[in-house]
This record gives sequence, C-alpha cells and structure tokens, in this order.
Amino acid sequence: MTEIERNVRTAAAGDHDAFAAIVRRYQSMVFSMALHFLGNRSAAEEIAQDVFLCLYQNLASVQSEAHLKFWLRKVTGHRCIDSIRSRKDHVEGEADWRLAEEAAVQPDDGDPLLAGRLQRLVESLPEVPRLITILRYQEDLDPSDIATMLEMPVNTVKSHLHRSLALLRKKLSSTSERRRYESYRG
Amino acid sequence: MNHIEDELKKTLGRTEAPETLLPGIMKRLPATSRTARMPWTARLANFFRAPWIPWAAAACTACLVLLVSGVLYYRVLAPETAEPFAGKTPVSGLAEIEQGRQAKEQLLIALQIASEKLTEASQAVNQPER
Repeated sequence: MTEIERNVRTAAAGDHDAFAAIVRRYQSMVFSMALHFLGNRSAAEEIAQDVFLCLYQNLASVQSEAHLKFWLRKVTGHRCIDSIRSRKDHVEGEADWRLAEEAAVQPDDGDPLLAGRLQRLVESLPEVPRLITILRYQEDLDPSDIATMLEMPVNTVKSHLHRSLALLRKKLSSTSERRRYESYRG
Repeated sequence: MNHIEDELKKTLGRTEAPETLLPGIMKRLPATSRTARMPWTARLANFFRAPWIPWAAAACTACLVLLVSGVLYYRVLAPETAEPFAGKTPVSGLAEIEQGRQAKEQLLIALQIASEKLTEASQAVNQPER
C-alpha cells in the first residue's frame, strides 16, 4: 500500500490532515487541467475546489492510487465541460490577457508568444477535443487511456486529436506570430 | 512526434496551484463528517443508520418467526410424534415395564406347559402297547 493509499484510508475515516496531503499531491494536476481548459485562474480554482470536495465525499470508493488519479482526471474533465456549457457570459478577452501574462512568465525555453498563442488556440477548440488535447499533452495519456476515461471509442479519440492538431497547425501558420517564430528559430 | 506536439507539451505543462486553493478546500470540508472525533453515542447512531441494518432486522425477524412456528408445530399440532410419552410420569412408565415382564413370564409358563403336554401326547402315540 502506497503512502497516498494510506492517506485515502485515513482521510475516509475523517482525518483532515491526510486529506490535505492528498490535495497537496494532486492540486497541480487538477488546477492545470482546469486552467488549460477554461483559461481563467479563478474559474479553474473554483473547479479544483469542487473536484476535491467531491473526492472527499467519495473517498470510500477509491480503490488505489491509480484509480484516484483516473477519478480526479475524469471528474475534472466533466466539471470543466459542464462549466463551459452552463456559462453564458464567458468573456474571452479577459481570459486571453491573463493567459498571455502567465505564458510570458513560464520558465520554458520556447517562445512565450507562441506558447500564449497556442494556449489560446487550444481554448478555442470544441469542449471534447479540447479535453482530449489536454489529457494527451498535459497528462501524457495514451489515446486508449483517454478513450477509457471519456467512455468513447479509441478511433474517435484519435480522430479528435488528428483534427485538433490539423486545426492548430492551420491557425498557427496563418498568423504573423508564426512567421516571427520561424525566423526566431531560424 | 512533430513540432506542434512538442510545443503543445511545453505549453500545456502543469502549473503550480495558487496558495489559496488548499485553505479554500479545507475550509469547505463538512465538519460533521469527522467521524474519528465523534462521541460514541453519535458513532452508535451512525452504525444503526447503516444501509444493511434493515436487511439484518428482516433476517432476524424471519428467523424468529420460523423458530416460533416450529415450536408451535411440535407442541400443539403434532404432539404424538414430538413427545410419545407426553403426559406420562416416570412412575407409570415403570409400572408398564413391570406388567410387561409379568406377561412375559406367564407366556413362558404357558409355553412350557404346552410343551410338556405335547411330549406326553407324543409318547402315548409312539407306545400303543402300554
């Protein structure tokens, strides 16, 4: 039994410290999924809180550490989709500015302008392809794992990924930022 | 893996969660669910609220009904099969045994007399000259 599985057991018996340890372990994963999906830090934090509260109520059903990760990713994805579908006053401009700022401070060696542009393009994808793209490239899941999680055929997942990549490539190549990036990479 | 996939992995890397996330979650946890610190009366009450309690009660009731039915059947409906010596004291049982022993002795005497008579008759038949 792993440390996380022990924490799940004791948290299910009412130990809040054990539950806090679980949250600390997985908060980055859940928050990042929600942030990349929604593009809004406060909305992503709200989703993450809801997901962990839901987990607290369902701790008894968690069977293993792998099951816990599977459960968190699945519930986060569904909560994100529900959030987008129920939102009527979604302001894209505000989210875009915030994401552009975050991309600029990320400590990667790529072009921050391209990263911000790519993030916004991912947000512009339809809900299900967007979630599949995030699970594939943030969580590094195989299409078969994504298919199991989202309860859809593997070929559908592959089709969504293929179309999403094609769309992202097309949009990137049509911008002046793309030309700047190419000259920068030389 | 092509260029766009590399860039997607970089762009969609995990981000640190805000420091307010964990306190916000812990603040919203229901305090009443801390069963580990509940008094024993509350834990006992929770025990009887368990979903399997009605089934256990139904099973116990069924067993009780079967037990009472069985006792009633053997005591009231089928007394002769259940208790062949019902209503008879040990003393009356001993008297019956004594009567049986005396009947056996009388039967043996009668058989002995009959045997002697048959022997005499046989001798009379086999010795006609006497």
